[in-house]
Amino acid sequence: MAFIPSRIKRHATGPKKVALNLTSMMDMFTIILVFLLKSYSTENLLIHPSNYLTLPSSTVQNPPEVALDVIVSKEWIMVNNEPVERIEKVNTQPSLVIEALRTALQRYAIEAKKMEETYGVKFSGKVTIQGDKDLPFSVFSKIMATCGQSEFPNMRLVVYQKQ
Amino acid sequence: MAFKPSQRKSRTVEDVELNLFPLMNLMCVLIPMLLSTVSFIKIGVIELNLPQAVGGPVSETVLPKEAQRGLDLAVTVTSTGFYLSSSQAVLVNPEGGGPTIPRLADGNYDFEQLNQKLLDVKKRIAGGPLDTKKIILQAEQNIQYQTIVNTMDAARLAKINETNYELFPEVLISVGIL
Repeated sequence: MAFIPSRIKRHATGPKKVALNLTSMMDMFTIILVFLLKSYSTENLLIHPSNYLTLPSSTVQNPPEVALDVIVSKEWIMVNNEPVERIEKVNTQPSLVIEALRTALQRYAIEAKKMEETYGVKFSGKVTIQGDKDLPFSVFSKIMATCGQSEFPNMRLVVYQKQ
Repeated sequence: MAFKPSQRKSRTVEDVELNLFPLMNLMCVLIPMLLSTVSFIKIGVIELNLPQAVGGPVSETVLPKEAQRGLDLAVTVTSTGFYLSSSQAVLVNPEGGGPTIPRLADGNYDFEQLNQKLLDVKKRIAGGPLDTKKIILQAEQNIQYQTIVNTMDAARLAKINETNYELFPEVLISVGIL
């Protein structure tokens, strides 16, 4: 005769409480957290590379610093994200100094000097130059000459660090 | 007084489970936040300091006066290769003719050899009266910015057995003869 299982489920314990074992996941998370905290730095937030250019790469180790931004993309020269002059015009002009850029830079220099007088923020004459890696030397030298002539002689060339 | 059995015996060790959910919640917030701020591309800056411009012709601001005396070491990037020169002479290519360091066969510039040559120069002048940290960088008009940056890299440091030697970190950009 076949075995008839008991109708009274004496041993069934009802819905069991399932406890997830989270310990290994916690281990993993802790390691990831420590790693991310270690690599966390606000340094890279100081300079936002522009979307319109590719920076050159270099072996230099100096960390970036905050300064007036001069962005030289393939088409425009921008100061603090405001377009100033077209590259085509710069390419064709014989003079070393780019007048439009010079006017813009001098405006910032005057503002910075006012700040120095009223709030005591030292005017360092620092300018960061973000240039596209395919920029010809003629444009590059004109921009540097203009910066030098417009009270911003301390130039910082922004580059990607090679690992 | 009635006998009271010891309570100690019957006390069982309960399996205490830590409530990890608050911690999990915290992780779930922190990790995406940190992941979004992490930057895998590191940004650096090359410092180029000119003396403060005080009027005068442009060439004076680009090429400072102190560079006009002394060794006056200069590297000139041309479409054929590098020319290394001082105020007295141009370093010749041992194979004769052309630039000091010609371009490689595949068309790339030979930055390693430039680095090596500059190290030789640095070794010769080290400690002497001509010792300098300055180098003048000139280039043809159509040389790319990336090449200029690489040339500055080659002039800045030399790596010998994993130790860095400082060569000529102060680069002066010269627009050359227009």
